Order: sequence, then C-alpha cells, then structure tokens
Amino acid sequence: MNLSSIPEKKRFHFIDQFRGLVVIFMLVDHSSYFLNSLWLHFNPFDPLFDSWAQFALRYVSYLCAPGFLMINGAMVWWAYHRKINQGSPDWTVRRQLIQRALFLILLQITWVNSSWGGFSSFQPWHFGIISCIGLSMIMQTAIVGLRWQVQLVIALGILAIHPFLLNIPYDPEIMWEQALMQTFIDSGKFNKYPVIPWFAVAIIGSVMANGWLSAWKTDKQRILMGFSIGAAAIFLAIIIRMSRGYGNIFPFSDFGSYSFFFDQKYPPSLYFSLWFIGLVVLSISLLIVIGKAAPKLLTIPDIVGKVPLFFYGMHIAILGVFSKRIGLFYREGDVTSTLIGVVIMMAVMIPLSRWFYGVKSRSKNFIIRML
Amino acid sequence: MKMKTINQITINMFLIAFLISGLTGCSSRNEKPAISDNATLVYVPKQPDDISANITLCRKVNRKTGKRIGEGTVFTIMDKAKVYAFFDLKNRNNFMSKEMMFHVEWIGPNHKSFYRKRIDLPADDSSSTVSSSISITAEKRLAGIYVVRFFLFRELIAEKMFELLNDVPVTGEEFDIAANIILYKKLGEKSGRRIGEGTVFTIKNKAKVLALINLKNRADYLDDELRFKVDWIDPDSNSFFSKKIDLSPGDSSSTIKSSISITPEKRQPGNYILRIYLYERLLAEKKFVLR
Repeated sequence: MNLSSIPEKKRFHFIDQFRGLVVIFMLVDHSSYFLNSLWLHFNPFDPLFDSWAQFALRYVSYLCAPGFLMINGAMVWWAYHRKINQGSPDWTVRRQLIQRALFLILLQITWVNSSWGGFSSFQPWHFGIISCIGLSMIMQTAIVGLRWQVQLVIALGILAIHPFLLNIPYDPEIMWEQALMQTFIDSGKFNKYPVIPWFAVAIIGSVMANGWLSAWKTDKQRILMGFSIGAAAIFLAIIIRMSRGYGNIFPFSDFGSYSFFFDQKYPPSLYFSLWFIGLVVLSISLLIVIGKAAPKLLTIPDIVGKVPLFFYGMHIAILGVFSKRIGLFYREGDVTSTLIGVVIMMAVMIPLSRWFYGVKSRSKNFIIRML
Repeated sequence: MKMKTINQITINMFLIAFLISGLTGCSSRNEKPAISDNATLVYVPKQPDDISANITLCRKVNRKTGKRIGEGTVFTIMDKAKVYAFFDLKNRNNFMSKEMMFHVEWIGPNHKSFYRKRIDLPADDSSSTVSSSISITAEKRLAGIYVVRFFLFRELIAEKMFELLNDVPVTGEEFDIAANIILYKKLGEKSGRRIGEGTVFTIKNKAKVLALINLKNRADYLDDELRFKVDWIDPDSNSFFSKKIDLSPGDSSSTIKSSISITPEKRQPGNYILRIYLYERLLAEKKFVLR
C-alpha cells in the first residue's frame, strides 16, 4: 500500500466532520436519556413510541454506533498503513494499536460506566460500546494488513453468519455464559454491543478507508463511489427487510413505517447493519459535498469531531452529574426539553472541545494523546 | 461530470429523500387522539380502513361466556383482584393475511412501565380482540392513576387511564338496601307460583323450606359489588348452612334464593332462623318453626 502521496499530518476533514455529526447525534440521544420522561418507560431492547418526534429523536442516534465502528475501522487501517509506510516494524504498529484498544476498554470500565450515574458508584461490570470498539480494534489488528477484497469477504461472511449464532442457547443468569455470549454475540444487561457483528462493521470501515483515504484521489471520486456503495448497501438492506425472513429480527408493517426502520439494534440484525453501513457511507459523501459547497455549515462538527472520544466521555459525565446525581430535570421533560438540553450542552462542549484539541495537539502525555 | 453538477445531484437526492420521509411522516396516525365513548384515547389512522382499537377495562371475565364484568375506569386494590384490558380491533378483517405485532404496556403512577406484553397474531389468526391483565393486590400496586397503552408495530394506537383505589373495608352500612324474606314449601310445577308460604313447616321425607329474599333499592347500586351471606340457624343457635352470594357490578339481580332440606334425618323440631347479611351488616331475619 503506497500512501506516500498523502502528507503525514494531513487531516481528513470529512472524517472529522462525520465523527462530529455522530457525537452530536449521540448527545441528542443521551440528552433524551437524561431529560426525557419517555425514558421512564422506554425499553431500548424493544422500543415503543408515542409520537413521531420521539421516534425521530431516538432514530437519529442509530447512526452513531455504526458510524463510530466504521470510522474507527477506517482509522485503524489508516494508522497501520501510514506507519508501515513510514518504515515502522509491523509488530510495533500492531502493538500500538492494541495498546490504544486496551486503553479504550479500560476507559469504558473505569470512566464511562460510572459517568452514567454521575460517579455515584463504581460500575466495572459492564462492557459497552467503547469496549466493543476496543475489542474490535484488537481483532482488526490481525487482518488489517490483508487486501481490502479479503477483508470485505471476511466482513460480509461474519454479517451473514451472525443471525445463525443468535440461535445459540444460553442462560443469562449464569455469569460466565452471560459474559461470553453478550461480549461476542447477543445483547443484554452486561453488554448491548456484541463484538462479532460490530467487528464486521469496523472491517467495512477499513475496506472503505482504502477508497476514502487512498485509492480515490479526488473528492469527485469519493462522492461518486461513496454514493454508489452506500446506495447498494441500502438496496441490499431493503431486499432483506422486504423478505421478512433471514436477517430480520422484529417484524414490520409496511415499507416506510416506524417498524420498517426499527429492526433490532441490540444485537444488530443483518438488515440493521447493512442499512446503517449504507447510511454512513452516504452521509460521508454528503459531508464531502457540503464541505465543498458550504464549508461553514460544518464548522461545529469539525470542531467536536477532532476530539470525539473526549466529547463522548465528557458529555455523559456532565449530564450524569448534573441530571442524574444532582437531579436537575432528570427525566422530567419531553422532546423540547431534550433539544434545549442539546443546545445548552453544545454551548458547553464546543469551547471545551476546541480547548482540549489545542491541549492534545501540544501534549506528549500518554493519556491525553489517547483521548 | 463536473464537480458542481455532482454536488447539486447529491444535495438534491438527499433533499428528496428527506422530503419523502417528511411527507410520509413515518407515522400512520394522527398525533392528536380522539376520545371514544368509553374514554379511550384513540390515535385515529390516517387511512380510514387501517386498524384502530378501543380499550375496555373490567374487573372480571366470566369464564364460560367470556362476558366482561365490572367495566369501568376505577378499581379497588384487594386480594386476588385483577384489572383486565380488552383491545377490540376495528378493521381487523382488512389485514387477515398479514402478521400483526402488538404491544401492551401498563404504566404506573410514577410514569414507569411495570408490565409489558408483546402479542403477535399470525397471518391466519382471525382474532379481533387481544387482551392483557394485571394483578391489583396490595402487595403489587399502589393507589393512583395508571395508564394502559396499546401499540401496533411500535406505534401508539390507543391508551386509557384508570384509577386504583385503596381497599376500604366495606361493612355494608354504605348501602341503603333492605331485604324482605319469604319462606315457602315449594314452587308450583306448572304455575311457578309459591305454594305454602308461612313460618311453620312439617318435617317429612323430601320436604324443603325455600327462601326468596327480595332486595329493596338494589337498582341504586348496579355499579357496586355486593356480597351477601345467607345463614340458616338451628334451635341451638348454631349455623348449620350458610351460602355466599356475590352480585358483581352490572348484575341487576334483585332477588336471592336459598333452600334447606327438612327431612327427619337432617332436622329436629324446634325454632329456626334465616338471616341475610350484606357484608357484615344484618339486613333481615325471619324466624320459622319446624315440627
């Protein structure tokens, strides 16, 4: 892989902007989690909605996990090939990637889990999305050097097999069975993000990185190829959904209804994975277009997208402390309150993110550079 | 193709996609509910031939007939008590060939969901009513305002509020009901008329004393549960036969019947009493003699 034509310090703005968009959507969902009274009776494993606005509020966040996994997969590919290209030994690069992955798992167990409750208690016994990204990253280091075609076959193979793995019986009351199954295959109290299907989504990100960051040299190529691939993924997802069988978990009524879009996220159905892989790719194409046509529109996502992990860890902690722990408007509001919460949180998080990006750029501290 | 053209095409396609989803709105129902005759909030479908539902709450269901007993929106917390919810589907016939997914969600006074049930009707199931029930014992529920919600494919289509009240022990004094007891020997086989009304009866083979108790003002309490007890007392002042009779809300019966056998093997001559109670309150009594 020859990446010598790409300057070492180059930032891919569309990647930053997409990550920014994802964390803003995530803030919307988490603001709803803390402020919206819907969550007094909302079950994310089996969601029910009393209005279109509540449906929309929840649905925008569905892009976040696939977006994070794909972009992280893409960044693993980028980091690996850039460093190899610079002459770093293969094992050193892989070790650095594993080091970062372990940091992510540690961050989930220590900071993230406890931040949901405003640090009122230490909650290490939960796996979570950040750990899932970390473990996917470790697994990805084993295949990141393979050709993109091989990686694509591996990803599609995993996605195709995962629906069958969901039939493996286990008792969630037995701790080791719960931990094993919910770490890798199923979702539950211990972990909503099983690694196997999300690892496949991360590999797709790695495959796309080959195009986005290397093979497609111009924005025109990125837009056209991204648009074609995204549309193809969505088309395939629609075919699977309309078949109402393999690859579906929840039934639906009609094309375009609530239930059509809301197949199971925990764990993701095959339809869900393909649909959101398509939407992630299309969204990135759209961001490249907007970046060309009206770049000022992307100023905010660009700022927060440079430090997505910091944004993630901080916004949950702030909401957790002020809303859950102190009890400020905790699950008292509705959609409007949620959106007001988003605006207030953005007013806090934008300058905080800008400041932290400056600190991170200058710092040599291991932890700060990892965030 | 020029970059500017690509940009325009891409933006237009996304705008069209948003417009389509905005127009269809994903939601197939009006966001503002209509109120049905029995106080159900119904989210009316935009397509008139689409499914809608009406919710009926009741306290009991007759096991044999399936009749809903004690319909209403106010229920009392007590031992073994339940609230049943029936969701009667309109236009179900239009969707016989389709699998249907429903959810019932019960929400408590703290606005938290305490019970959820998913009900899938397979394509060949012609059911036009689905149901769910909750226990309303003192161990499980607190007094307050509750809501039961009904969803079709994750979309709210109907909901109904109801109230649970704490169980206040009923003594019978609350009811202005009086009773009149008539004792007789038998009913005419053809005429159906009472034969041998009186207070003195002769012990002999196959003989009986029948009691007809007429309830005065019964019609004023059709919405209440009325628990009666008939007690037959022997010459030693011991109850030798008692019978409980519950009149449920909606039951319009205004008479109670009871009878005893007065064969020589079972009864001794002497002074007897028949008493009728409403809960703890003695409504009426009638003395009679067996000889």
